Amino acid sequence: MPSKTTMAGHLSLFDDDLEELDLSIIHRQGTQLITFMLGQEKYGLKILSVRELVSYPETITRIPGMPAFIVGMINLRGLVVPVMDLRIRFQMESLDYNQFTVIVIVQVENKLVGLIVDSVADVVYLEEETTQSSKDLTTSIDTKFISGVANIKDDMVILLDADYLLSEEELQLIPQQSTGPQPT
Amino acid sequence: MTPDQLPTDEFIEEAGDLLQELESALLQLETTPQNSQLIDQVFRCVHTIKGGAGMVMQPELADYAHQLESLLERVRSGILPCTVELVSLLLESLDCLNSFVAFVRGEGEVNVNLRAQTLERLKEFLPGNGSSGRPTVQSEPVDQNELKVSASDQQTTAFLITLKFDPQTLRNGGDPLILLEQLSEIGEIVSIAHTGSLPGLEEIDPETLYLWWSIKLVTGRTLDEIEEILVFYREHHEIDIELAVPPPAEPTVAASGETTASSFSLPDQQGDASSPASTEQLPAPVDPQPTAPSRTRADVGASMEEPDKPAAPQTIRVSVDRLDDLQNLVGETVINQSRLRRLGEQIMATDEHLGDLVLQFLEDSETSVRALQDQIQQVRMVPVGSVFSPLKRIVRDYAVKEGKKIFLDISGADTELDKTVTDQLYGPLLHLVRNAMDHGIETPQVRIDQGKDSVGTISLKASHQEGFVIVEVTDDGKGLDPEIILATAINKGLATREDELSEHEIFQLVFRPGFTTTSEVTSVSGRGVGMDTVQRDIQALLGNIEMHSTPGKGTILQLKLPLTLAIIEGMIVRVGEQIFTLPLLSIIEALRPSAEQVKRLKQKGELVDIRGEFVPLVRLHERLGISTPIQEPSAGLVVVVQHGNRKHGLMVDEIVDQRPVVIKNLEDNFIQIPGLSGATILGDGAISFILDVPSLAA
Repeated sequence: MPSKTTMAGHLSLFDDDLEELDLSIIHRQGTQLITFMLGQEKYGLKILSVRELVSYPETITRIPGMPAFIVGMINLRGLVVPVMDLRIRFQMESLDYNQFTVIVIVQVENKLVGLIVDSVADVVYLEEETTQSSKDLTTSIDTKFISGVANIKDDMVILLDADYLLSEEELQLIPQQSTGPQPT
Repeated sequence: MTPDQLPTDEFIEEAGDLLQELESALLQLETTPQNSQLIDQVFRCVHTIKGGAGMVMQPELADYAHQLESLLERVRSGILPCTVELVSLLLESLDCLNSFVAFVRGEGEVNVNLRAQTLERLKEFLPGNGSSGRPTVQSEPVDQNELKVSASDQQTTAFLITLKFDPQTLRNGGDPLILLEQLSEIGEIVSIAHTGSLPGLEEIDPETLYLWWSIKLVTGRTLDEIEEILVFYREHHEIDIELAVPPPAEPTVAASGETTASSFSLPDQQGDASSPASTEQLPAPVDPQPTAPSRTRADVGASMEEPDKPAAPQTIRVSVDRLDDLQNLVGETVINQSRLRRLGEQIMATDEHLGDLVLQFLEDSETSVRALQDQIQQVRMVPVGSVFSPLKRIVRDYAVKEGKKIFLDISGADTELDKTVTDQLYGPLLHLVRNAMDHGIETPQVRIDQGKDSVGTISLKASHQEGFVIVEVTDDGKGLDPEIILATAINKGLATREDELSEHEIFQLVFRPGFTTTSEVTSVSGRGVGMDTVQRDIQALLGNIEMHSTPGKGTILQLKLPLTLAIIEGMIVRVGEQIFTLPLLSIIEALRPSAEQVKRLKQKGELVDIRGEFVPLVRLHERLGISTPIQEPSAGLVVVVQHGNRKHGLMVDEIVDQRPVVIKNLEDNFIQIPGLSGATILGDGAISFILDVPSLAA
């Protein structure tokens, strides 16, 4: 029986069942994204930087001296994780948390931060050719957090740059953006 | 093998341990040069380092270790006497080995000068320059079965090779004879075939190999060259090679009945189950001359080989990260338990019987979880002695160099501390010991003039006390005069006469930044880092340090350290609706002051009058931006905390509890937050921040 090789060149099966396999997954190229909603806009984060999704917890401990977008800390199975409200962060009008509210736990290197979003939408593949730079883009949020915009399934997805959001420089700025009283 | 496949990390770790062991053995050997066990230990360390160096492709290190090994081999066999000079040289070689390992670690360069220098001096001990002659040949006893080795061939070495081929060798087409022939080509061999496992004739399987061999090979080749031959066999067969231990010069009664080549000892055979014949025929070890330095054969067989199997407890290496993970998991379990308990109480309210069962079960599981938690904590503990022992060398070298006589007295080295604490304790301790050596201990002449023992003593003492570890560095040197300290402090603007400081408070002034009593800079201490650095380091370990001194008698420095950094004893306080944790170590007292006790000063803000002492007041709710109905200290509580020498009163609503808490670092996965040193998770799963006393007091 002749061996059959897929286009990707990884599979070599000796089975006619191959014809029946849906190979669309294997053909997929590019990065997987998790998409979520903030207001009317759809945002995407590289799935590799997303550690998990948790629902909004019963208790969230406020951190003294932090700006409003740092909502507080949650206990993620023994880990103490700061939570950031992306609506407040991006200066969008705030929304009461509801049963769709999700905290996306993002991990970049050893930094672990939860991002509060309105709801989680989908997991999609990002194809490079559909991506365009964020330079000539008008969105409601600061473009420094955006790495680009992609057109996926006729939807515009704004690509959030988690590496930047959790970068040392960016995090170190947080205490200075505080509006409340601060320890001196 | 490509470089990234080399077991470099393992080597670095192992070599580090070996070098430490080597150092401690050498230091002991310096005082008891005749201790053959120590010599064996030293030899073993160097040998293992050599082997490891080969594995990680460090030929220069391997070669250097090899030179040392050759020298030690002579010492071990008694050809070369072990002298203090020799040990001194070995200690210097150890420094060179250390520089090699540092180089492998990527943290420095090999000390080439030291290498050349030690190798040069090493040669003085080796034959050719001395009268020790050719040890291998010279030491061969006159034995009927002995090979006559050409006396002119200085390079020959005797090796013992044990060949235990796989019993299936013949069936698989192998032939042990080929190897034996190969070996006989490179030198003279004596081989003994062990027939102990041969079955009776009727049971014999002609295709099974029942024999094994012991071979003595006298050759001009090096160990590595022989290894190259053996390496092809190693994979499937049990093959051992080692340097032959030269027998005693005057062998007494021949011991072994089975072997004919009795002039060398065979390793690992006496106890080997596969050679019952040899075991049975061995006479019990008898030593007719117990005190004589030359060993009898029985002695060689019984004790010389066994030190190679140290009786050390079996251990495995586990990374601290894994322990951290384990600790987190257990912490999580504890939290879940308390949630379960609340659930159990709810069940109790509706169904008493069921609730009772649940709570009973919870009780049992809580016991085991607590035991688990304790055990994991125990695993992280290492004896504080691991930071004491490197100091022995420092003290020894300093004493030799400066012409002082110093005895380092160590006690309580087995006191256990969390590994993180122990690791960070070395720097401060080194500083304190250097200070004691340099500024404390006088020269022998001065000491004698003062009627003291010419040998100064620095003692390092560790002990447990009330859940803390106390480490004391004491010297019997010249001590410090509180008057001079005070005068210096006043001079530097760190204190005033009007402060009316107690003697205790005066001594603590030395920890203030910018305080140093001596302006001279020596190579040992006084490098511009003062006691303030030591105090900062100790405080970073959540500990504190105190000093006391008597002029002419000596100085004592006391370090109080928590058992672990991961868990602190915490005072749980409430401000508004938020729960905070204060490290108990920094708390002095808590009180509810009357309104009259709180004074407001124009420049200094608010002060609380505590028995005549004015302590600055920090209203935590204001500082942290928390709203609370309790606005005045007289309605809440003031917790007096100490940081360094300064006290502050922190105003809180109430004290909730006191308990050990597991510290979670915020900086690791987020950022450092001003005013907070970390967080902890309370029994009900809620997060409580640990207040950073120094920054709140600032």
